[in-house]
Amino acid sequence: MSDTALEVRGLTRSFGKRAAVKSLDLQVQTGDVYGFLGPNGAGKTTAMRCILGLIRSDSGEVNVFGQRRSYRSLRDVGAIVETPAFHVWMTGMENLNLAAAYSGLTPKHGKEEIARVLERVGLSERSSDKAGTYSLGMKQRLAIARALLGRPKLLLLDEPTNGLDPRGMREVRELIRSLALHDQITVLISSHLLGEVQAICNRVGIIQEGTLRAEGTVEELLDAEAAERILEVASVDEGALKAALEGMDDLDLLGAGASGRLRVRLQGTLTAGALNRRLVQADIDLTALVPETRSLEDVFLEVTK
Amino acid sequence: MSLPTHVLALWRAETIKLLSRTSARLGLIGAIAISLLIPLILFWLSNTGMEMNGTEVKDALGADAPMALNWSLRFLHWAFILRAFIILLGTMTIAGEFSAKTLREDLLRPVPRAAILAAKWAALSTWIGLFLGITWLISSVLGLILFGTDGGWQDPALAYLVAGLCNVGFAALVLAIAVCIRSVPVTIVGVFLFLVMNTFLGWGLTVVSWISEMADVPEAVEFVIQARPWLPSSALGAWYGFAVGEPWIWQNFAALGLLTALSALVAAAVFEWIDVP
Repeated sequence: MSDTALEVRGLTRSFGKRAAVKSLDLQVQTGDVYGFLGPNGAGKTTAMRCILGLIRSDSGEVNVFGQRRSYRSLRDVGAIVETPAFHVWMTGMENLNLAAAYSGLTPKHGKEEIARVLERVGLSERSSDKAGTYSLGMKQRLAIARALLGRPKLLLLDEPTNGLDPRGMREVRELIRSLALHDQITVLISSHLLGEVQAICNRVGIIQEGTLRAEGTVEELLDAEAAERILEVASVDEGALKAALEGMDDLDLLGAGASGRLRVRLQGTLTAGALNRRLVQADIDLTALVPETRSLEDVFLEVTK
Repeated sequence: MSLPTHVLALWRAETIKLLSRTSARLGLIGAIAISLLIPLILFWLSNTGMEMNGTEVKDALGADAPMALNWSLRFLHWAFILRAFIILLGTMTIAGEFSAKTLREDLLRPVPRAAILAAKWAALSTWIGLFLGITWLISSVLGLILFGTDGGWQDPALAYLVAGLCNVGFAALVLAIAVCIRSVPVTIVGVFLFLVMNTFLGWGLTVVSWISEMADVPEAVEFVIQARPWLPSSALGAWYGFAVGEPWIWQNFAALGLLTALSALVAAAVFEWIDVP
């Protein structure tokens, strides 16, 4: 199997004069759970649709496991695009039967596969109910079951937890994590829910205005920010603390943070410990000296500002 | 699974899906009702003492089982029942699924778009076959019970067969319009407009041909009159000659073949090219 599950090169798609996706380059390695992040309207869904061949791209190339994307390469791909749609007058099982036929599974193999995926998403009990009676969470699980038919090696999930309640979100999140871990499925998950992506993904790409603005492992993206070494400092005597900090030329005073504490960025070789010693020597009683932890949300806001 | 086998599997799956639609089932119930009602009406007419222009209706009719078959076929066309269901189901199959986003789910599978379209057309054609088959079977059995075995059975059988081909061609036309328009109400209006315009064109040419029999008309008009058997309305009504015992017109069949092939090609080309978001 190719090391690269999905490779997108120079993908561009415009609607009229507006470019929804501009020269997008993306690489998802086999085994990755890749978070495709971006604000609403950034071009995530358009990019996903182009990757899947639902809409045409103006230019660019998409390769799936080293092969140029065609209808054949969809054999290795399962996908959910936006809100999944079902034939609501048919049962969950009938919807899956239809999808199994479309996936090219023989009736016998299809039956086995359907039993397997229903079990996997925990819908076996309700499979003979009409899809129209399913809750949003059940529809989402049924969509995942449908995407898993034929044992795809790559799953493309567009906003898979959209509209779900916290319990439903957690269930879907756990399921995706388990698919990656136990079923060895490479996953590309598009979302604007940063906590969700940080919880599941090992690699992240951030897209804005149709262009990839940042890409890397979650650790890389967070470390890059951490390198700036921002601390929150507080004391009983705020005036004395501020005066002392203003007198130091190897740090920047950034002002008060959301917590009301002063924020400083360390420069050069200055460390948190050295700063603590200096302030103690200056007779300032510290009540807090806390390294500012950065979340993916901070990185996202930084990149997309 | 090879592509032809895959397409056959899709045909089966699409047929099951189509037959699970309430509208498709209603259509088949309509076929049962018509095929029961028409022979009974014919039986009643042929056993009533009613007179028309001094002749008893039963003598004028000379009813037999094949006539019951023909009447059923002609009624479901004149009353626009079969065509209405083909328009509805054909539109739902493409434009309806486009709007409901279920068409997108089909395209996420490893199948060429043309094969998806072919499977949907084949499913609709199967439904048409079922509709006509039910009408033929029930009308035949009831006709045999009511009238016995007398009469010529070959022409009605051919009429049903050709009606099947004509309606499969009509289904291709509906799918082509649905693929191009992709909106349920606009597709329905579009198909009706096409049929109405086509009918008016046919009537216009008939009137012109009457005039040409009474007076000299320019050669160009004569040429246009000759085009009548090639009109879509003539093509889609190619079955009618068999139902009334007239010689069949080869131009109707050629036009039906052209209409079907052109509709299928346009549908496939546009379907290959459109965005299905």
